[in-house]
Amino acid sequence: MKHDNDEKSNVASLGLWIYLMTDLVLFASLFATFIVLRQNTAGGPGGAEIFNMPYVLIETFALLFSSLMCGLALVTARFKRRTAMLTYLLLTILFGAIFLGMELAEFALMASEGHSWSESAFLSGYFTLVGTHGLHIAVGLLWASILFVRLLRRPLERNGLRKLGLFAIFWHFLEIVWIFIFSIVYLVGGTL
Amino acid sequence: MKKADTYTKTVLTYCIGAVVSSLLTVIAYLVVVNGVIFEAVWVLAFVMTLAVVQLIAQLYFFLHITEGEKPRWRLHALWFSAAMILIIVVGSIWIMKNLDYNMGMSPEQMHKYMLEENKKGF
Amino acid sequence: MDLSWLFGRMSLEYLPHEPATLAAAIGMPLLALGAVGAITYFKKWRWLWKEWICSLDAKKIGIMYLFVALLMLLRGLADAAMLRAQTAVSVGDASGPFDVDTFQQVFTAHGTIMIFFVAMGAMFGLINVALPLMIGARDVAFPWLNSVSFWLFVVGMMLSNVSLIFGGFSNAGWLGYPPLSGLEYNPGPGIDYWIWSLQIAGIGSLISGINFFVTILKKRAPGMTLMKMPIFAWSVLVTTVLIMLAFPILTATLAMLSLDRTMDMHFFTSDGGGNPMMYVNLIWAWGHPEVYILVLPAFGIYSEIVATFARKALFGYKTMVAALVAIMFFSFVVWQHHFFTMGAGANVNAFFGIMTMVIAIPTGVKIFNWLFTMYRGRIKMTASMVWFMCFVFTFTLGGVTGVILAVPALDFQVHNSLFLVAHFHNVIIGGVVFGYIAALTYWWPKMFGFRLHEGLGKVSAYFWQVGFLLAFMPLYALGFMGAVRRLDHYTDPEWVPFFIVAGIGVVVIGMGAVALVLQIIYSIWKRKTLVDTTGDPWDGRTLEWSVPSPAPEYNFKTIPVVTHRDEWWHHKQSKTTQAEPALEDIHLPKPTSIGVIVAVGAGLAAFGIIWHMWWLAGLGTVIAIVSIIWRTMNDDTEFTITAAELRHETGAKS
Repeated sequence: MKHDNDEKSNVASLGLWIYLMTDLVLFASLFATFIVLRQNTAGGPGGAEIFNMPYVLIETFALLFSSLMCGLALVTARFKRRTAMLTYLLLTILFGAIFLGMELAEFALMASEGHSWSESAFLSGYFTLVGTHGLHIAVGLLWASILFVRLLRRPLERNGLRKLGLFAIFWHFLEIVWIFIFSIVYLVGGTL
Repeated sequence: MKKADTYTKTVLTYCIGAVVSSLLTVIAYLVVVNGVIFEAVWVLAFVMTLAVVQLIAQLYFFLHITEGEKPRWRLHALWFSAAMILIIVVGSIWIMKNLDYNMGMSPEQMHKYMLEENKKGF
Repeated sequence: MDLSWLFGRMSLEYLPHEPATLAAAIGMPLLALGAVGAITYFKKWRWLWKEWICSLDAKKIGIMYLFVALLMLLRGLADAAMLRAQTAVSVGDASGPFDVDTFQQVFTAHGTIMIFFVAMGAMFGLINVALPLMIGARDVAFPWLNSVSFWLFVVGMMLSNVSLIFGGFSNAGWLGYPPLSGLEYNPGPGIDYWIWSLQIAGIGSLISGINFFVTILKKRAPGMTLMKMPIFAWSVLVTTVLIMLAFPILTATLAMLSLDRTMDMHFFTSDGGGNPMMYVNLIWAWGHPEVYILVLPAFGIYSEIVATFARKALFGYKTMVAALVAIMFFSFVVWQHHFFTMGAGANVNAFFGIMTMVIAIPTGVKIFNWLFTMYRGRIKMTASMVWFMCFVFTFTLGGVTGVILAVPALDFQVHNSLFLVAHFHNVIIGGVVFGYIAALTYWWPKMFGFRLHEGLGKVSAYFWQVGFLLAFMPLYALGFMGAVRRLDHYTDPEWVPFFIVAGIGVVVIGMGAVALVLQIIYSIWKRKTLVDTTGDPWDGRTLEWSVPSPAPEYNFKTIPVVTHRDEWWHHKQSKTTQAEPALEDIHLPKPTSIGVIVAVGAGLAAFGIIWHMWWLAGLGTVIAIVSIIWRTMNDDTEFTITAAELRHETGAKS
């Protein structure tokens, strides 16, 4: 039975990884569109006018910290340190929520200033690319919360650990996508 | 005890990864926001290089991409996907830029023309 | 009390009034009602639910895919008949039986249905039925996701068909280019039906791609290295890579078009800085790999059929694998050839033109290798082989016209003409349709325990072959003479004979389809005389023929150990009697309704978005998400067939 479970874990892990590769292609399509339409501001603002760079830097660190917490949750899980694992997972969710909250606030501010996605191709591209990443984060937070409840009730049992491992891969992947959003959308798009 | 060693080592891996990522992020941020580099193409090259380095760092420190039994399907899937993505993104940008080929303008003229057209909103 | 939010933008004006649409809108529900009535009368609801709808058995899911694909083939052919009826009549002053709007919806539906529901459906059906058996596995890697994929496919299909009854379908062609498909020029629900039909079916396809890819990498029988796999498995592996890399592009692009339409964004609009050409670019970055997705499994099928019926190992196995991988690479660097004429400079056109010509080379290598396989073989001309022979002739012809189109200068003359239409039908019918029908004939006994009638199969092939020539050779000529595609009316009276011959061709193809259906019905009626008693009716080479027909639920009593390519053939030739390995318990996935429920949720959500019934969109999404979470929380998803039960079965058989 142990061989069965190891194999199941292996297969599920590969399946998730491959799915993430397809997700990469999805993001790539949105990136390509953003880059091509970047300068089509239709008389409206470009990145330099509406991006708050220090704010975005803080946002980036929130997500990076969340990713680190997630990694530590997985390590402590493997070494059977139950309380530490639960704490780190909670911190993962907390900082992920801070990231998402900051992003939503950013969007709300832009909307209140009259800059919405229907103003120009640039803004459509921006909101869709960043919004899609945010949607993935939201799904991840839901996943992590359900996982947290499960691990709270049935700590350190094999299936739960397996699922934590799968979540961690997903969460780290989202952090990696953010590196490129930060670089291309905000750094390049906010200055050039 | 060996187990405690491995635990510390693994925790350290994640912490190193986080520190490296933070440094790369801050450096990219400071250089771009303070306008240290002038030409657009070098800004792009600099930012993208740092992004790719951070990508590799996170793949190694967070996702442990080099571990696992051979054949390393995850690694193969990753580099292959990356190659295809490069083709699609670069190819798309090349094609879309090239659609202005027959407009008979230099890139600067074309850029100005498009800004004017954009403002008109048709 | 203002209840307008409940019905979104529904209104009675969206009911059909054109006669043909009205007939379909009444006929389809009647047919469905008839089916429901029959199932009720024969008291088969419980059986249908437990054995089929909730099944996680790849073989059953495969059969259901094939059933739906066949049904949609008939719908697609009916659409084709309407198109040719129109063009045969509508010349000069005369007008055809259909108005412009209907004509546009018909050609859009024809293309959409044939590609997404007939070709993709048949492909997934065949892979489900044959692949796990062929690689010595019990099922696919993710059986529940397999069910989800199938039901998403069905929901996508139903959205396309429901549009006939209420709302109308898209009129913007099977690829829906903006700005015509955008909000300004097409505010109605038709385009949205098309978008969500494809989006939902597309997600099903993507999940299947991942599923089959992981299955091949992780579920092969011990000893079966990649280079010992049947070549069909290689073709599936390469196809899944294409699916996984291409379909996300479709998902993103359709999503952006939908955002333009529902949230007033400006990706592809003519104002606000939008760029419709970016849509064309992205949709073809998906679209070109898509056509290779359709044809590569057919190539794999031909490899199996030729080797089996020539009773000879496939010539140049390694080269065939290399050719498949080469085609896979190249299919990602040719997409711009679909829009040579849309403004790009000579350097871009030259690059993509050359790449397109290059892709013909590995394809040609495959054709030669099949012919070399036949040379000095002991050929048995079964119906499957007849389909193969028709393929060689027809597909080569289509491929050659493809090389003509690959030259940008030539393409400028025939882009979007009937020459183009003839080319792609040529390769799709010759390659995909003939291949999948050949495969249906080949694997039918494994699915059902009896063979299809040979004679009727050959009759069908001859009708299809002749019908194809009649329907499409005139179109090559018309294209050269300047006839543009997608027109409901042509002015030149000299073209009439060509259109009439094409119309006759569609009728002959229709007769081929009728022969196919007759073949199936007759074979079911006479199944006792056509029974497959050994499980190996063709003296086959690969592992699926080593199990009884129809295959038992668990596929193999014990997973075989593989030492050679064409392991089953080797086993039969070596005539060694190996000791029966000890039987062990088998764990299989339990049937579950969650797959259907997720798909229904997705369908309700899509329907809600299409009609701006936002409450329904939310409800459908919640149903889908909650069902998925429910499934992930269920740890008890398998049942066991004990070794004792297996032994009992053996006893009963002998």
